[in-house]
Amino acid sequence: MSGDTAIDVLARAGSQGLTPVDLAKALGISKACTSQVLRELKANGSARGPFRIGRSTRYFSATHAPSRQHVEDRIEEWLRNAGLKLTSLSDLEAIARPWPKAFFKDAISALKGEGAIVELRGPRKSRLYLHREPLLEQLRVEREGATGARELEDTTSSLSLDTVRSVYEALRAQQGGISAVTIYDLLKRMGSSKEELHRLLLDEAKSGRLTLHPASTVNFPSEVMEAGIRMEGQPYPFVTVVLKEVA
Amino acid sequence: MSDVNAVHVNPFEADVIAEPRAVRYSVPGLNDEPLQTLLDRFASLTRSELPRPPVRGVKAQLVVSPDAGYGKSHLLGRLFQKLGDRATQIYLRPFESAERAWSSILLATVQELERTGEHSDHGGTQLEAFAFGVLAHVAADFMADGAISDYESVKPAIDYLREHPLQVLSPACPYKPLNETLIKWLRARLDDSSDVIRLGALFRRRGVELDGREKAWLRVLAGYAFSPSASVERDAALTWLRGEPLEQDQEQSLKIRHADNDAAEDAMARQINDISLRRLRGLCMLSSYYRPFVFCFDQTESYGRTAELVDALGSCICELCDGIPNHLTIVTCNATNWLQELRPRMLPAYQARFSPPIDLQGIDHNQAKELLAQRLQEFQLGQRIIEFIAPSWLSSHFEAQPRIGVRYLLGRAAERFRRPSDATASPPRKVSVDAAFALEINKVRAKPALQQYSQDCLMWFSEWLVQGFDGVTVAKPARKYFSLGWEWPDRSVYFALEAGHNNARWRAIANEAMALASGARGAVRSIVFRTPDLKPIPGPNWVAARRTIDEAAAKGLRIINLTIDEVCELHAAREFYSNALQGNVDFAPTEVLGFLKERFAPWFKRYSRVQPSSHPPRRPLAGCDASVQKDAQANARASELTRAQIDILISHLRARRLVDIKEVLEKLGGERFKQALLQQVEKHPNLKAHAGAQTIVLQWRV
Repeated sequence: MSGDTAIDVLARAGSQGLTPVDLAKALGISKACTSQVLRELKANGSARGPFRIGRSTRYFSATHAPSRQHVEDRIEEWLRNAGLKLTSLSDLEAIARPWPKAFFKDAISALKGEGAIVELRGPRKSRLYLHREPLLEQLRVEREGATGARELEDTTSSLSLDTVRSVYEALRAQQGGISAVTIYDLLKRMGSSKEELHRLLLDEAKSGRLTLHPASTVNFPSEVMEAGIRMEGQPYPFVTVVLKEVA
Repeated sequence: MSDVNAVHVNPFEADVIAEPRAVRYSVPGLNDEPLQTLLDRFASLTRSELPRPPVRGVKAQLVVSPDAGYGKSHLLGRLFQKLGDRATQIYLRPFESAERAWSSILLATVQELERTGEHSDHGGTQLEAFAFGVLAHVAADFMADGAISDYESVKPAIDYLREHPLQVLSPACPYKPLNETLIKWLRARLDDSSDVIRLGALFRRRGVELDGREKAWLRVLAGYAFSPSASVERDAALTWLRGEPLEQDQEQSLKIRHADNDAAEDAMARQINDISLRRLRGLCMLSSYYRPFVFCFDQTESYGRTAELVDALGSCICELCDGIPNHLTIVTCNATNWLQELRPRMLPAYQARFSPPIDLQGIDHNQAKELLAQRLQEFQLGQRIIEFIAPSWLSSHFEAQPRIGVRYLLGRAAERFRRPSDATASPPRKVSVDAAFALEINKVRAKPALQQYSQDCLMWFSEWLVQGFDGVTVAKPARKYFSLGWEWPDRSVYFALEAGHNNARWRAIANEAMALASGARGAVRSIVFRTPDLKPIPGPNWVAARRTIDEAAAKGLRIINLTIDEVCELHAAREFYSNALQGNVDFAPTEVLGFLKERFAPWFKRYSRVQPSSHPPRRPLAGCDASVQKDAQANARASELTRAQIDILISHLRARRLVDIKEVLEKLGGERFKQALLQQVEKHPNLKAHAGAQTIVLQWRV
């Protein structure tokens, strides 16, 4: 019944983790008690979860808990080995199946943001992926600058929330996990047109995938304010954006 | 409804939380996740049974709002409500001086402990409950450690003592013989030199390290817990806890060794700060026997004014995380302030002591509907809900995005409430800065807890607000007490901050004032401000110190006793500026600062006037005239409402629901009961004071 016993059982389960039912069985306690024990373990940071993996919901000891990094490593390894052969999104999903689904989209966004992998569009807008190393090898390193610029042009012409998210995640990580990222920083990193980004942000805000905020308590430089979105009836322009976490 | 119009209370105007303890209602579902995160973190401090081993290394929880008005202080209020009597809750306004940071935090902590617990049935102060909690467990440990021969037979009684220290040790204990015997026994243990050593050793066995001051802590807590309020022992215990030096009679009343009276009478600000940190660490250590502390650093925008303050904040958080156990520290901030002003100026080691950010969310359409309906209902305007929350009006605010800031919503609702139904009528005028400040003064007046001595406020006044007045140079001389000064070529005015009443320290202050006067080229005045909650200086029995103070007064020392009106005005000024920094009011910080500088110009003039030293002030020294003294006496007489007055208050408000304070004061016997009335309102769960620019309105809440 004690937290120590429960954490021992979770540690023994390792990277497989345990469902609450399995944990209750192992400890010989009721489901309600298990919830209490898990709450306590989560509160003191010795257990993580619940993670939805396949059809089951699992808990892990902190040392064995899955993380986005695991998924990123696995995807990167797979794509590097695949060389110039394109891998579909569904194939990548299958590779990441042993890990919580919630990490998958974030891992893809982060890898794209870091420039480790490239996302391409196939027939019927299907998404295909390629690792940067075989691609650079093929194009020769000295042509990287020119290629990069062309790639950027492609990105701006098909601005999507996914593209924004990858840059957003990188910026968020850079600022210590603070979710409010300035539109100015996004624009600077993405190189897209202000109007196009504003249009996308306003559309996505309307559908609740992100929120826009003024910055009424800080004197930003004029360029940051100008990059913001001015709306009728609002005393301050929206200068920061917070993207909703992908479930 | 007619009442509401008559007293001009707008149900939506209260959109800033000045005091988290005032939070009563929260919209279901709004920011539940951040609240749960904080509760979970707190739960990690209370996992084991009392007494608990000290829990260290809990990072400061960083609560981040995307902008002002998303409910940072409201979240703290909800947390306070949820934690109830499971935590000692300390709400910290920004400190003004890096070298006095711990002194400010300790002062706020002791002031809070001196208040009655809101969530507990125990009628005494929180410090009393804290002391009972510690002493009960130490006594139980002592008995279990062989102090009594037949331990097993009394074990159930000892367990009961551990579980119900307040019931057994408090004066209200229904079993008087047990209570008296136990207290007598405990007092005898504390008086016995070998027993008290054994008791002290029991702390260490539980991992509670008190830097060799175990015996002092025991005697100070017992001195406080087992003595009536306003007794010499209690006063001495509070003095020691605040890190101030004790007089000899105070030392004797607590029976502590001279070496344990470790606050130097003649000390630098840095030394005072060090001892404050030691006391705070001691209190937190001892909370292993009672309940953890929750420290909430709110209004953090103020720290962004200087790199020194940001560094001091980071250093405090680092020390709290690494060196002080048994607490949850919460820091709230706006995302942009954190990113632009705080984080870049903070050492990476300090940044590492903050948790990953805990994000606040905006309010959605349904929650907005619920909040507005609740506000109308609270003012008995339930019949106006359907008409007021017209779907098209409410939806228009959510067209751009499904979540918006709560304050933005309340602001629009307040406008709509005041706007006449005639759509062609002009929109309401923006409130003037004068009216906004008058409102702020009434807010402070309505909350007696906001009127306590605040060294940070005095420092803000003398260091920040004065800048630009009459070509003044604000200097920081390397002096022990008068460490801040206003300088002109022909004269200087120096300020010292001292809330204590130790006569040796006051002698040292007076001596320093004389040294300043004799060493200066021009005329010199030295000022120490006092507030009505502090003891008068010089003390009634002071002889030598009085003489020194008189001598210093002849050379320019002034002890200024601020009246309650002045305290309200000064505290309101800082709050107003802080609100502007936080985006809580419709005025830019520079505009507010400009207004306040003008408003306080007569103060600056008054205090910068340096009279020739040949004209010592007439008695009383404190610089207050006869009318002020009379006023103070009248206030003292009306410090509490009588039972009959409370009955009048309650029956009148219950019948009228919303009443101007003046009307109530007439019924109670006059203006002099104002403070006592507001104190009563603060204590009563059904009463609430609404501050307006002209007056204060009292409400009966159902």
